[in-house]
Amino acid sequence: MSSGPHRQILDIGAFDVSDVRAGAETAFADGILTIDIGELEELLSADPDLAAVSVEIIRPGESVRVINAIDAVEPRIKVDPPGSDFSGLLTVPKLVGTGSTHALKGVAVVETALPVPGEPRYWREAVFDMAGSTAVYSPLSELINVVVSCEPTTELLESEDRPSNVFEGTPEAVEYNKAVRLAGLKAARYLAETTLGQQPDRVDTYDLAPSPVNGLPAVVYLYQLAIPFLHGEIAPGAGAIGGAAHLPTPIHPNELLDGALVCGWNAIACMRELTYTVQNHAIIEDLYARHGEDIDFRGVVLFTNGDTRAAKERLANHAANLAIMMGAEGAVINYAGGGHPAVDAMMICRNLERRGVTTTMLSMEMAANPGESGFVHFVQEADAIVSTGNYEETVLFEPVERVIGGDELIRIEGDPSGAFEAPLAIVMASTHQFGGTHIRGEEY
Amino acid sequence: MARIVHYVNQFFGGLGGEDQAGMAPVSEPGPVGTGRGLTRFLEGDDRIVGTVVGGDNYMAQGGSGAVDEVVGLISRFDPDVVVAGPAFGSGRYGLACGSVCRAVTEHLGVPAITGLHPDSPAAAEYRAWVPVLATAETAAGMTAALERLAHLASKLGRGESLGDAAAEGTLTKGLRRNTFEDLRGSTRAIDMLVAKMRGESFATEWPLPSYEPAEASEPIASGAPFRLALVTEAGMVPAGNPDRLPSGWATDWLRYPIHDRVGFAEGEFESVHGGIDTSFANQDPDRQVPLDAARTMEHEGRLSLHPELLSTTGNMGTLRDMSRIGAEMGRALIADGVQAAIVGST
Repeated sequence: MSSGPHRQILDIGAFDVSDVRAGAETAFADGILTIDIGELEELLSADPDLAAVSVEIIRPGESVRVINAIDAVEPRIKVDPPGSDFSGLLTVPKLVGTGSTHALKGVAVVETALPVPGEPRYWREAVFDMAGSTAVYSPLSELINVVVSCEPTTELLESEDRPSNVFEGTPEAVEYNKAVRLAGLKAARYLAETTLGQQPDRVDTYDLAPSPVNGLPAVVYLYQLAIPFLHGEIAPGAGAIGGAAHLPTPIHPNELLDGALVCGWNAIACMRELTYTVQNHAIIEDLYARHGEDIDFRGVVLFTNGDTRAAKERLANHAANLAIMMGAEGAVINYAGGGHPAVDAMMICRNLERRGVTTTMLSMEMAANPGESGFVHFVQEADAIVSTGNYEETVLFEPVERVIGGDELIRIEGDPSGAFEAPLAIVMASTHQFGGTHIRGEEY
Repeated sequence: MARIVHYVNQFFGGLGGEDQAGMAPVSEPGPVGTGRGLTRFLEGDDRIVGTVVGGDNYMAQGGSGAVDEVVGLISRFDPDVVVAGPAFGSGRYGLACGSVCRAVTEHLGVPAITGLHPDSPAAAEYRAWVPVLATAETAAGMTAALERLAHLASKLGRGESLGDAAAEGTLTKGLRRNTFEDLRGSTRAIDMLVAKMRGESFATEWPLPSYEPAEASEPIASGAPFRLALVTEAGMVPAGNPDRLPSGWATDWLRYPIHDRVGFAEGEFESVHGGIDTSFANQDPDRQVPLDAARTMEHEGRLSLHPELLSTTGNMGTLRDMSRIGAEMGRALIADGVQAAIVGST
């Protein structure tokens, strides 16, 4: 028994799911997740902000296109301490990132929701295909998805279409989008409950213990957020979009892996911070995997972006201060996408490099024309960039047998089940900033 | 056997130096000048069936008409492939080689190749459109360049496509596309970080753009009258935008007569720029392009004003297109004897 403060040590018990089926009773056995669809729909429809909720199961290889997708969530339940699932949203804010959590692997709950008045439309187009040539782009295309389709109330559909905040929308539209997300989280917890009392296929332990090997270079991850919910609140430093920029925040990576951070905003689909991508955060997972091998992982600094020059300078200096205080000799930085955030991420890169911290950056490319560089902003110090793909590249969507999530696309004319061309930007998590996928841009 | 037509300038065609730079294109059967050297390296039965020689200034100032003349002369030789240059790092000659190759490809459907130094203006402008052999900066690299060009021309003449840029010694197109890696991005980022921290070699996956520093011209001698042009990237056009200048992603530029105007009245000219609030420019276009002030100074005898406004839209313009447009505008103004320009930016 060690003395002194207790570190946050998280065990994620993984249950591999080979199939998901509709059945009389919701249960998990022998790799098969069975769902009582009626019971789940009843549970989710209880929210007064939603008129109706329907649930269906789709699998890789099926000729299905999901449109109007909002978020994706891996089914999870906290085993120890119990009752802290999606802390801050399904419970009061609690300590997470410690103890034990069960996860259903190979499955996601995906919410779809019809657009409503008073909502920003510009970024809302969010699509993925389960089969065909476009199925290579979204990580969701490889999962068995339990799709939760939400319908707005008549009142909301007939409400005012003039948001005072063009990024978030009217209070009614914000409330609806939050209800949709809560439905996804509730469904995720409901499905994972089936594992209680069972032994997982494996347990992954996340422990930021001091590196057992001396002399490894200390690495900090500087995580630029695209404004999700942290413990149920808009995350610190909401920046140009959410209001005044807060200072960057150091955070234990286990909290992020354990449901503290939930998608809170309909960012452009390719860069949307899906709850699933945070629960399975590729950068954090890889840093943990290398901890004690060839690096000494020291933790995470969250930051977003300032909306003024002064706020950016303050934020960029403070982020570098925190990383250096944590002992960083090296830093991985991700850029969250968009105009303002590019400046802040690059300023942090410059500050760190000038203060002797080696950096690499993950960045999506934004070249509408293949002859463009695709940069919004850059500094000469950013000489080690991993490209997570150009989201402006046009892809051809092939016809599909079935569409879930609505009858029409917002910015693309024609039948959504038909063939159309669109930028990769509309595909969920296609050029995602955590580098969890294999796509990249190359010069030719 | 591949029928090769060769394009060279007056100097490499042996027809003279700068004194002959204004010469209109001429053609001759068989190899001329540089072409004789190229012939030594030709493969199999390949041969140069004809040569077209164009003057540097004629091509630089003649625009697409001059290029069309060259293409017309080339087509008479019925080529399987066209070789232009090599022009190494030269400005006018390189641009002529690039524009001729591009026009040959597009209008005749015949493959074409040139040889340029990677940092030359023509390389930046034409690498996306035509294969470009990477050469030395000066003609000191002539022999090596001709040997490679002969080989690549032979391949193109047989209807084969060129291989990977690195293997062929050609420039990449400088374009970007998506591809897939074995390792996911997060793993690659940590690998790159570890290599960088250890001082080992690493390659960024997204090279930073490099901008050529623009050199400021010498100031105009104070007091001496000079010829001034008004230029803008604000998308200033006659009301109604008769030539349909786009509000963004422009790839061309326009000239509008202003010799009969003392200024721009509201409603006569407008800005079609899609990236700014144009209401101020539209209320008083002179505040976007200072014609009224320039005309006043002209009346005072301090300058003479070029009779046309040169206009494009800078919004969302690519570096490639805007560099070319800037170079084209500059050449046109220099040809018209202009010494200074005011670029009303946004």
